[in-house]
Amino acid sequence: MQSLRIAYRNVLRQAKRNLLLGSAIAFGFLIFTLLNGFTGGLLGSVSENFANISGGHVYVSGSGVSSRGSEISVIRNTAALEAALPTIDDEILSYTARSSAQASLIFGAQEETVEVVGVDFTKESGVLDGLSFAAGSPEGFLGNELGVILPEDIVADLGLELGESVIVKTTTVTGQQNVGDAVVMGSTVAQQTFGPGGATGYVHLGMLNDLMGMDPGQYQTLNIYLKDATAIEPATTALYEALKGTSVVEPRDTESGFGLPDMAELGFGGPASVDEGDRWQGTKFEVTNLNDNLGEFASLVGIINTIGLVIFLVILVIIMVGVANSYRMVMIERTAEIGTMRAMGVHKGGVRNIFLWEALFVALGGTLAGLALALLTMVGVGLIDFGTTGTFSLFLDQGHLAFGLPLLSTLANISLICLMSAAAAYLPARAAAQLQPAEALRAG
Amino acid sequence: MNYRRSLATLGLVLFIASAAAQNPYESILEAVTANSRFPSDVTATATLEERDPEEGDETSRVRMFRRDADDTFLMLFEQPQVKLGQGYLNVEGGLWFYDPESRQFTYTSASESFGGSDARNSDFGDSSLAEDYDVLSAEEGTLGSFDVWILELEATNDEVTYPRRKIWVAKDPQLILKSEDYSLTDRLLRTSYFPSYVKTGDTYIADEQLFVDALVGNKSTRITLEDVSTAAIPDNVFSKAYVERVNR
Repeated sequence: MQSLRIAYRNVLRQAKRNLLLGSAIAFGFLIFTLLNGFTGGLLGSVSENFANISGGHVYVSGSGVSSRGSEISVIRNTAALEAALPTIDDEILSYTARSSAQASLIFGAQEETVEVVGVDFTKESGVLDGLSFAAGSPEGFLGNELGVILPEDIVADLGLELGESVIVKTTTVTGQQNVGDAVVMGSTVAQQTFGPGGATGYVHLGMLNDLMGMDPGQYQTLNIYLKDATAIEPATTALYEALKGTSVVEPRDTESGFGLPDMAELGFGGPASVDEGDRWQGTKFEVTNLNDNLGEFASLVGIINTIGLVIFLVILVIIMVGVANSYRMVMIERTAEIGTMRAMGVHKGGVRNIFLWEALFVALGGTLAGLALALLTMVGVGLIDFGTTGTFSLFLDQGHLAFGLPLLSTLANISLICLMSAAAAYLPARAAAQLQPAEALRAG
Repeated sequence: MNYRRSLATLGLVLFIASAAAQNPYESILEAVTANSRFPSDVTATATLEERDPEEGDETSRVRMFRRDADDTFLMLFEQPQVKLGQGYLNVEGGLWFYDPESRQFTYTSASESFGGSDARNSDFGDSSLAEDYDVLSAEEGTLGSFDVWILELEATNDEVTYPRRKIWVAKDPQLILKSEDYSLTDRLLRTSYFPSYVKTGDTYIADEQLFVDALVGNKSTRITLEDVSTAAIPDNVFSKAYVERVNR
């Protein structure tokens, strides 16, 4: 206790030197913490944004082979899929069945291309609650089976008014040209690029299926939101195994890489030809998840974290060299003082501990200051609104940079720096403890 | 003996019935297909003049390589500068679009628009009218100064670009002069005109084609072919490697 008190007093006594040493530690820890917090938040934001874009955490698509050998993207055997869902019933928060098409909307001499998504609103009325209506209402849309909800900028570009009819041109799942009429019953706020309603138009599932040459109850993808996003892998595996028991299932490929779902897989490029030996009967399912799409991004974050770790280790070495040098100087400066202490009966261990405690105090003060600065910076940067449009918004949480700092790893980092600082001070501390009192007094 | 005679008579009756049941106008489709299917390779330069009230007018120049025997073709954009190097490659039952900026091939389909124009990718390949369509009705008529057959066609499968077509076929030689192309919901999508053909060997190719959009007013694409040649094309031209190499 006495050593602790003397060490504390010594730190204050040599405030300038310790402040410089502590500042170096604080700066290093600030950079490392900011980097860690940034990558942690980035992964969380991108995951959440991707889940919103893709409409869930786990995705099931399906396709069949036509008599001419073309792959047709549609889940015709919906019964097999719906029979497999109870396998992960406890994990499911909600699920959505979707058909989608790249469609040309034509009004007068104006033409715009938009992705049109078909939803069974009798089962998924919550989808409408998630949209920000710029004009029109959910009730009006639900009352018109030919209704379409479009992004407000598309409505403006086409010169449409609510209630007006627009031509929808698209291709069927087998690649035929088709057109139909839709009635504009609402428009969504266009700024939600990475949220529901962004650059997407919504129609009733039956209407889109009719245009795409599908039966009313069929769909192309089933997207599942899980109650707990950390259960993605087990839920995907369980669903995959359940489907495998009854149907043809594409082997799991977890190396798809970063990006939006392949447009060809969704049938946007038209039906692809399947080699004769690779053809199958009925619906072939493919089960994918958010992690498949984010695999490369997670690797990128891992690389940034590794770079952060290297920076951390370099900082640690610099700190240790700085601490060792400082305490070697301290030992020389305090030789007479050490001699006096020893002459007054302070044990070798006591002298050593004073040095070690001093190093610990400086390291702890530096890391806590660095942490405080990092937290302040995160809060400050987190308050800046970068907007919700553009590609950059994919990395943001509602337009703001998010930071994720795990408490345990932060505490572990602080402890590591303190321990390494104490280790660096150990040799000078031991040398100080080994000084003979009489010689120390004479030298001083 | 009576048994054998009865069998022979039945066979003859079935043969006559089957011949009578075959639509006589199917032979017109077969003749049209035969007249425009090249036994040799074809190379040409196509100029596309697009008229679009919204996007404005644009002229593109495309180098065309076609081998009907293998049902393959390659279209490479030479102009405008913004499309230079873009290509459509139809090989092994798959149609690929090459973007020189990303240096990637993207799967596309015959029913997609060719370079954003009113022409479809399927307009540049081998004619397969006889395989893909049945004749629903036929009548004689005139188109300008030409005596024509007017045929209403229905697709035999659900993978052709247009489920229903109405074509005006010149009687001699039997070539399409005009076509109306309809959607699955039976709405007119576009009208195509083929006012001029060039003959190479026994085969014809339309050196002037006009596609008029029926849904967007005043939108059309005119294609003219020049430098048509039937010289043999090296096999490696119909490959992704070639498309990548010409873009280096």
